[in-house]
Amino acid sequence: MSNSMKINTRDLGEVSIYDNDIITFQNGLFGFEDKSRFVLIDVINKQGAPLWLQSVDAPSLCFIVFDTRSIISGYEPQALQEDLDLVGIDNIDEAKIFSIASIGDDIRKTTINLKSPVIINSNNNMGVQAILSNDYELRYRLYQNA
Amino acid sequence: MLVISRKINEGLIINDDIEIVILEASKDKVKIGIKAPKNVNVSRKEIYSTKQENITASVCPRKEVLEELIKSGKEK
Repeated sequence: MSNSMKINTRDLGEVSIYDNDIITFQNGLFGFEDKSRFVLIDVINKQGAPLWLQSVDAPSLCFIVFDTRSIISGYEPQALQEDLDLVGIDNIDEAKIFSIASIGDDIRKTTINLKSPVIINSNNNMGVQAILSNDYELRYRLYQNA
Repeated sequence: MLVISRKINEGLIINDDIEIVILEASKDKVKIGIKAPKNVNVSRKEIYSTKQENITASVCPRKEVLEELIKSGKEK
């Protein structure tokens, strides 16, 4: 049985979450190393739609992310073993992978970070942001034809 | 960009107090030693770029942009 709690979010008001929804990033995210607890809020719940990676402890800290594999066909991330070890997986295929989006004033110019995705092991809810050895773009235009 | 050739164990000095030494080199890798004052930030470029990109990404989109994003997600 998991306890529910309410958290304040940056974009979605007050949201109820369960203890076991909390994803722990031992190293935080780059530039935000001191924030380790996040929840992934799937408000739209459709393939290819954005999700909200919201800090549990800092309501103003939130990232909009996309399930990378659902929008980029042939995405084959190569992460360092030490990053996989951090979330307790042997093979990256076992993990969920999300790309952080940068959304400016014009949604058509949204970019997603394919080079350093967020890797989450949903079996133990551990996460890490990994810089891949692949030559992927840090700012990949999400809407290529826009 | 300034381009300088160096041999193993040769170095460079930047601004009197930053020293860079080439320690090892192989076909596709070099090992570099850096001596710098504590207040000088040294980062691998990809880590620095990822930090900057995360900071940009963490900026809250305008309300209208958020609404448009949610709407377009639902239409997928």
